Amino acid sequence: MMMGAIVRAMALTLMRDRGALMMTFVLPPVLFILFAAVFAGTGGETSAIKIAAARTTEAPSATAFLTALGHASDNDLVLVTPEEVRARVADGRADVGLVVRGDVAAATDKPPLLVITDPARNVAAALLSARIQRVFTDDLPGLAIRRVAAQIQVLVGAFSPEQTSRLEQSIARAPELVAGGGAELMERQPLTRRRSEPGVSYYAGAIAMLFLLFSAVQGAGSLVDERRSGVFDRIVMSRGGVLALVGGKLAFLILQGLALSAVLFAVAQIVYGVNVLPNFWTFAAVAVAASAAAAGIALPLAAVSRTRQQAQTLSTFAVLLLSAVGGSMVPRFLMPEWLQQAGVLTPTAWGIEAFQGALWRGEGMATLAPSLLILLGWAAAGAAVTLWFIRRQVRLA
Amino acid sequence: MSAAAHQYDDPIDESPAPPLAILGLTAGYGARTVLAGVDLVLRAGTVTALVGPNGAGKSTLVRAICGRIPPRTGVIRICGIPAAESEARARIGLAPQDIALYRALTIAENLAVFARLAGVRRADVAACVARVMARTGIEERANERIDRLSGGWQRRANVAAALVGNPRLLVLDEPTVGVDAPARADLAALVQRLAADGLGILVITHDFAFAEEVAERVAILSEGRIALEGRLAALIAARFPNQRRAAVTFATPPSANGRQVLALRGLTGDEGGTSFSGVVSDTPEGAGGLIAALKVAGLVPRTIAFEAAGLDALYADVTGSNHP
Repeated sequence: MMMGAIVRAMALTLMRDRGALMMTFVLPPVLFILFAAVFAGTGGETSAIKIAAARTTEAPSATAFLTALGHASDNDLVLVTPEEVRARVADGRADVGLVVRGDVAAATDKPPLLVITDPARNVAAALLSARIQRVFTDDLPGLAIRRVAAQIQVLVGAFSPEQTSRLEQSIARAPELVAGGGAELMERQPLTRRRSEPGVSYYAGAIAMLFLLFSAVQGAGSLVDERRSGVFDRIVMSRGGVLALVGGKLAFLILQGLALSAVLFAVAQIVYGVNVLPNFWTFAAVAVAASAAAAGIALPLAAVSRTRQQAQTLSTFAVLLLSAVGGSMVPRFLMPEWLQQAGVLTPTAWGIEAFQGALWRGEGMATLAPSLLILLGWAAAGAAVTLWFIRRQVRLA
Repeated sequence: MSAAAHQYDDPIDESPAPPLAILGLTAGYGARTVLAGVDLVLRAGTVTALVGPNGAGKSTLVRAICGRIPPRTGVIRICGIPAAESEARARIGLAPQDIALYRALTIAENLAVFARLAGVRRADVAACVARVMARTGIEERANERIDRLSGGWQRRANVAAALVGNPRLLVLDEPTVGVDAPARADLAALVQRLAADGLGILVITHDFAFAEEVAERVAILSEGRIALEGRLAALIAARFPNQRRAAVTFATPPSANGRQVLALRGLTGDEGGTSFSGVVSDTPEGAGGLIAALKVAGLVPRTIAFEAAGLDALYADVTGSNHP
């Protein structure tokens, strides 16, 4: 196989370039660890939020409520004046503000809780709402029952003394009911119980796709250097010709991508317990297909570029675009609908999906097949375009 | 292994056809015609220097020889095979103007890579590399990286890489660029050795001294045509009978009037405007007439020399320029 000669030349060149080696094999795991540290466990509900709170009522329920809210470990609550609440939210010292302005245990004309939000941090308001619900159901069930009872009385009339007595008995037993699970509306049942966080699995795939693309465009850029130095002329003149040139580069970029994936996911397995070894063969298949797809993107970009600078600019733009739309930076389910649909057109989205499928959902080859075929399709299309373009460029038969 | 693979020691071609034969070639890009009827035959065991002004079509001619531009009319045959065929390309060794080697690889590693690409069997690569290195005298630097070699060694390695496929035609594009005098002499000796081995060698160069040293024949390409081709000595004898080349240098560029006097005597200047050369009659009157004209014009030369006419005089006479 003459293309083996190209693979060897590219491999030796890479191994003797410390800077390129660092960029290819050290930077991605470091960035992955950083991303994972940032995003792991940020399903939302465990993120600490800074709450600036105030009260304008002397109701005892307000004291109990604020105390319970402040005791929750994921809330960083500070009590200030109502004016200070607005000021802190406005200047960013607090993620969200809360003013308790009525009795939370009684029926009131207007909601007793006022949440002050910064539109740029709406997610903090959503988190606070969820935590208020949690405080009521887990910590202050009596208050919750009393408030509901008060509202029912507004709707259907006052309870009789006997009903009131039984209500008070129930309120007294409320903590006991909660502890036994009898008051809960829902039960959460995670699909799997694994050591790693799903966020880490996601970002391992996302970072892998990002750096597979970056390393592929870096490797494919050698085509521009070879054209300038005359190595290109020498190769296309040889018996191996354009086919050996393109095939060799494709093969090298797949091997390089495989090595990069191995390093990255080894770190993911060791540091975060991502399930690589139990799913080794499906992981390997996804890594090959994703590396091939990245090469399929990088090779045509290098082929159409006349200078390294041009290749660099074009490739950086393409990689950032594919990574942003494909979900390497932000998960696609958080994107607007049209962008989610656009993401399907990128190999990045399919690569991330395939890595997630193999490593988090433990999918088999049959389930992964559509993603793998699409990734390999990108590789085949990219190689074909590169071959066509170079043949047209050198005008060889 | 590729079906086209061959053993290094196997002669790739035993045909008596010349390594390169170009007849009536026209070629170009789009609507532009660059080569407008080129005829050139290069025989085995000879070195032909191809010279010509920038834009004359040298690079296009090399591309056409390498099968990368189809002829519009005419034919190019490599050892009798049309240049467009891959078998023809396999008989060509190309040493491009730039150092067309992987810079982070050693000489031996580069030769091994290009040997494989040339179709040499994996088992024969080591022998092929050793043989080519011995042939080009680069064994002592075999394990040094290209980017750590001097310009001269890089050039020799560049030529060596063109030989791994055992070609019959060697095309050297500007082989002396960036090479110092001793390395240039080594390169000239190497080219002559390779020609003595039976290769047909086409040297495209702006270096007239190198061309005169290595080439038995010279071809001057001008405006897309071979304006003159033949043995250098015969061409000069025919073109400049009883004439000598006069070379005059000045400390500072002469005035417009002085340049006019020199031009009337057939001397043209270089880009710096301080060196002038041309041909004068090989008689006492020819040299004396030039000296007298300089004196009358008030021109004081720094040096003045009369020597046998060379390629530069031939080139200036054919192209009307002495800037290669």
